[in-house]
Amino acid sequence: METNVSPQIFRWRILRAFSLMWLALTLIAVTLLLPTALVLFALIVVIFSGFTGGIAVLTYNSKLSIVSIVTAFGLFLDLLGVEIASKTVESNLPLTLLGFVMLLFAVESLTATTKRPFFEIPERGRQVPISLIDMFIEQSFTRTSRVAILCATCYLISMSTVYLSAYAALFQPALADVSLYVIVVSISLALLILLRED
Amino acid sequence: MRRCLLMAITRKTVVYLGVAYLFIGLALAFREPSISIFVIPIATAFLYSSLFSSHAHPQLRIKRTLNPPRSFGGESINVALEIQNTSGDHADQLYLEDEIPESLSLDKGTASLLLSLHPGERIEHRYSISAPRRGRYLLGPMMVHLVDDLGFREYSETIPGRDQVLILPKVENLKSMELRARRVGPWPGSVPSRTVGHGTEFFELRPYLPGDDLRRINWKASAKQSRLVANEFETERVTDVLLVVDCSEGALSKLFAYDVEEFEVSLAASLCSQLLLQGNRVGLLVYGQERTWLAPAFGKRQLLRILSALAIVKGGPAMVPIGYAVESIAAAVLPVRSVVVFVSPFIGDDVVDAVLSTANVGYNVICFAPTESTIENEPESKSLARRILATERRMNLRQVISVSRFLPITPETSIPILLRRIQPWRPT
Repeated sequence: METNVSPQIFRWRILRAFSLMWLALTLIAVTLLLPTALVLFALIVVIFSGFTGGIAVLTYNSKLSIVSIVTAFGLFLDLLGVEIASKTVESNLPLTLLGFVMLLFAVESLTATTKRPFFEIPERGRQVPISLIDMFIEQSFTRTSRVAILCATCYLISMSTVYLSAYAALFQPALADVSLYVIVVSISLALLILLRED
Repeated sequence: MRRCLLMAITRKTVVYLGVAYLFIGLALAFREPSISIFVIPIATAFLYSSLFSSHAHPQLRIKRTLNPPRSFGGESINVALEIQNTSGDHADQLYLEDEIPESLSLDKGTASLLLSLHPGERIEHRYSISAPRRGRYLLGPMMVHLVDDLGFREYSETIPGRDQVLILPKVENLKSMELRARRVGPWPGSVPSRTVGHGTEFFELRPYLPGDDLRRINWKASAKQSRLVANEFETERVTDVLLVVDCSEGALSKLFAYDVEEFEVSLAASLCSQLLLQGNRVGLLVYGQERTWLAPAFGKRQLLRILSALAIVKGGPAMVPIGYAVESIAAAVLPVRSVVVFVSPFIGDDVVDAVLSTANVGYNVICFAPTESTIENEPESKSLARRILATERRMNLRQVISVSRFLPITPETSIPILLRRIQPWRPT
């Protein structure tokens, strides 16, 4: 049986490094959207969230990854709060939405890489067949790319909804508020589908 | 066992829903319809999960092969899992976990794995286990967990099918064990029969008769008697033996510093193996939490049956008095004047009564008794209790010694050396 698992471990490390980099990128993107007055506070949050995220990825600590995600989401809510206060939600929507979608992807990739894989369990890990490790890493890459495509699609759908509702509102002003109800219905529908008995 | 499929929404789903409703709440509270747009990515993710994750019913065929299915402990048992996706759908992100009892240790490989199987695809996975102690262990069932791409829904399925691993007690090679029995069978064996015939043990001298083998002439005796004298040999035959292993409550007494139950089982396994190897018919009666008995029989199959029965011996309080059990089973399966071997610590009157009644009926009784050991730095109250128990046991042993061949034994005793002490003994 082949025993050299270095290429597999290297690929797995690339994925982990990518998730960490994406988290850092998201935090920086959200910070850049914040007003300059809040930059110092944002930097503290970014450092804390980045540090806990880094430790979580390095040590496969899922609790720390939750702390990191919650902190990052708190930063995003701050941004939203600032925009609500300054009534600039609508004008900054494309960028804020991009930040949110980036955050969603960061959550997904961090979740995938902070769970200790079976081949890195001490004592047992090295005895796992390479084909299984390959399969696992292949699945992780496929899943990450699928989620990335999904997040990009989510962003496009959301932006299309924004522009289409704005365009429709030109002809029928009452439709301006309809989006809210459409979304509520769509969530209910999604929930219904989610709860269906297979 | 039926397949059991459970579907559940994960905590992540609840958190995402919470976030979605938070945005809706904020939109309503601050009259900002634009905030509700943030719900769309979440709703899209839910829809994707619902529509495109289609592995709700993975049809898996799992076959577990154990090699060897029986072991003498300490050696590795290879487990080969053959997993096949029999459905027409692609089974993605399957997390499989073969349930292994905690007392078994995983030597090599892993019992849990993450897989992705195409329709009809079959893979083989191997791992090794070992057990430190005799017993019957059950492997399985296989647990299958599925989580969709986004982790919103998870499925748990139990695939039935359990396989048994039997760890047999270790057998010590006793080299030789010479029994003396008043009743022997018609088949040649190793038990002296006190009849003249073909054998290896000298029996008597008689005048040489024409036609006798010249090698049988005893030249020394012939020279003394001034006529040809021939040696007569004692025929060696087989006998019937019933081995009684007492693992009742008394055997678990604190009188011993070592595990008496394990010691008794190991001794019984070695004795049975040696007796069967010598061609005797051997039966077994295990007296403990569960009473097991096997009628006397010959051969390797009987040895396997006996070792399998000994592997699952569990000490504890018994329902029927041991005397009754021994008497009724011996009367049914063992001819009188055969050999009954007791392996017991002889605590309690029941087992002493059983030995006395067995000897009175006419069986040759041999008793192996684990010897009590001294425990240092014991509290005074416990020490007193031990002394009382030990005195009671000594009284029991006196009665046992009077009617049987008695052999005290400890885990440190060399059994082959101890067994030599049986040789000079001839039943009266």
